[in-house]
Amino acid sequence: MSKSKKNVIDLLSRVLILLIIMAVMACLKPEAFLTATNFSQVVFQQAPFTMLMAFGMSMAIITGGIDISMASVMILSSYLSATSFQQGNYVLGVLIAVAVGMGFGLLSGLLVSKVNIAAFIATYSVDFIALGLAYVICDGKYIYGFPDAFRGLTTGTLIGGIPNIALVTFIVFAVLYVLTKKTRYGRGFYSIGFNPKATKLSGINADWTICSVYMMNGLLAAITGILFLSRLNAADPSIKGTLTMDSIAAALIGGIPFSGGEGSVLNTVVGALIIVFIRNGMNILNVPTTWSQTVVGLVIMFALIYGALMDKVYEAISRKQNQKKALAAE
Amino acid sequence: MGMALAMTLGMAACGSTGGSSAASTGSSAASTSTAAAAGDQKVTVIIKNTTAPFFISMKEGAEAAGKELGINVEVKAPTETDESAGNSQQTQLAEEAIANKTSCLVMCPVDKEGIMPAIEKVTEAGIPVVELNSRLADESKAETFVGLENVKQGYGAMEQLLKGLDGEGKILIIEGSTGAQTSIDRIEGAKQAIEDANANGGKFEILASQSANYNRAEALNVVQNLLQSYPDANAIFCCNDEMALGSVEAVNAAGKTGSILISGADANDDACAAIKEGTMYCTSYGNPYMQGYEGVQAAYDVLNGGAKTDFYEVDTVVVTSENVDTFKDQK
Repeated sequence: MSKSKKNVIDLLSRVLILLIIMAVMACLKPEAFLTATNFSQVVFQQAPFTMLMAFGMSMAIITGGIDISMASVMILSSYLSATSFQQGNYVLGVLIAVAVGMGFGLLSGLLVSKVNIAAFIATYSVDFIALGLAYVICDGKYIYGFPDAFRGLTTGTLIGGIPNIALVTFIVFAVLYVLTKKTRYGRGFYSIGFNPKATKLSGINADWTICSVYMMNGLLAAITGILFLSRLNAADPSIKGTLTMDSIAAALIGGIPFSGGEGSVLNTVVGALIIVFIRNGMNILNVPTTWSQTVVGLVIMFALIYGALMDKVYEAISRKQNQKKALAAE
Repeated sequence: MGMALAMTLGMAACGSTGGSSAASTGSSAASTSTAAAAGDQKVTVIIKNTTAPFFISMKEGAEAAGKELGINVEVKAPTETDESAGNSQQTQLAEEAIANKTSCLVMCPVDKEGIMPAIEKVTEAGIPVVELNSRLADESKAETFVGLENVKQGYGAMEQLLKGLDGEGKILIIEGSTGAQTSIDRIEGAKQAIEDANANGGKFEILASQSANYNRAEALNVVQNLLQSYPDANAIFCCNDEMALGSVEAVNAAGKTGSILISGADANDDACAAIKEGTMYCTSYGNPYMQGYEGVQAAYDVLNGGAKTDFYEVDTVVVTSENVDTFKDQK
């Protein structure tokens, strides 16, 4: 069995987990869960936030790192760009948000690639800085009330019935998919995660690639921040919520191993959908929201155990196939 | 380059707001001018944070009272918003207050149990304690309590909401952080209001009660999901304005603005704007300014002959479109 076959089976099994969870919810309260409105709200309005952040997290994990600063950078960039959007200066707002996001991304990237600090620690400290600055700047004042044209970003629909925010997420997904699967630059993420030393020797500029991944995460954080401004109609530091943990959970449940070098954005999409549907289902079933944390944790554990089992099965099958080949050659 | 931009903007913002950092405050300026008049009386006020508008207002009230009464007031708060970390920081601030020989400690605890060891040290050092806004686990250590009756606050907001519903209604309750005393109390008051209304011929029922952790974004998702289960809901009672504003967006997204009445608590600026627009129905002003003010007043009384009562009650005001422009004047 080839590696790519294994990856396909792995992805399909995650989709199966998603379908099982949906089936359970559907059996318990079909009239609320199994409606077009509910699905469209969960997939097109609620999932994009977790998904975009999870894309960034996944990219970092694939290169063998992690990015804990995304949520705080998102808050800071949304705060700094909020007044521009409020006044209708969309271009300025986007510029500020992107500059802040990519600026902090550059900081994280340099710390990880040039100063050689472990990604967890580097992004942890950047997270503190970004959130601290956000609180200082915000000073308890929420910025409220954005023009309708801006709100159209999340509430409007350009293409028949699909909210714009879903469109943005899909475009990001498509770009990242092509980047990681079809370009040498993107495939570099995998080789860096798998074997950083060999990658550097093979001529790929690993330092710049790693740095660019964190800058890309900064960009994703900025985009998510703008989308939050539009959906919530306010700049609000509490949007941090459970996003960091959820994005890590989405990557893990979706099947991206923490050791790096494997996984695709498809895994992330499935993982993010699983998490958002769990929260949605539990609200609909009127289970106290505090239980969502426990359930998500259980699903992560299950996904990790399943992943470990799959690895063992794959190894056993590969060994058998190699034995057969050896016997046939004699 | 982005970093530089961010930092300069940050610095500029800092400069223009007068540099209000979290742990210590500009009240040191006030203290030098009143030090002569006050002699050695020093009151330390420890609140939950200085990032939420509610507590910023409380700090301002406390400092104003210090100026008017002529005593030295220092307002301190943790920089951590997480409950457990907030408690250890408050403990530290309390111990610093003992070391600084404060005359009286006014305490708004993040964790009413967790702060007790620090409170005991304070009272052992001979420093009286005044409870502010949230009660301590062991009230025998404190001279008096200054604050609202959160139960009354919840009752008032729900009562107003029910009036708007005209005799019958299906209500969703959005709770605050699980275990938060303010949330528990407000809901107790709200449920009492429903019982009283039903006893007088009303037909009100609670469809569901879920927590959104006092968080705007979370409330948006929770309410959006709940509306799928309970499409016939016509009122949403939220334990604070942040969640109420999240509910406003969820209701907008569902196209039901105007047919679902939403109530919150705190009366912050965004909520008042929403009430004026008609997207929110009512909220309740917790009067944090007066809470801070009365907290220092109580400390002053304790230091000068004893507390006048064991409950300095600060009144809450229900805010609707009728008094949204004037309620703050009712001090």
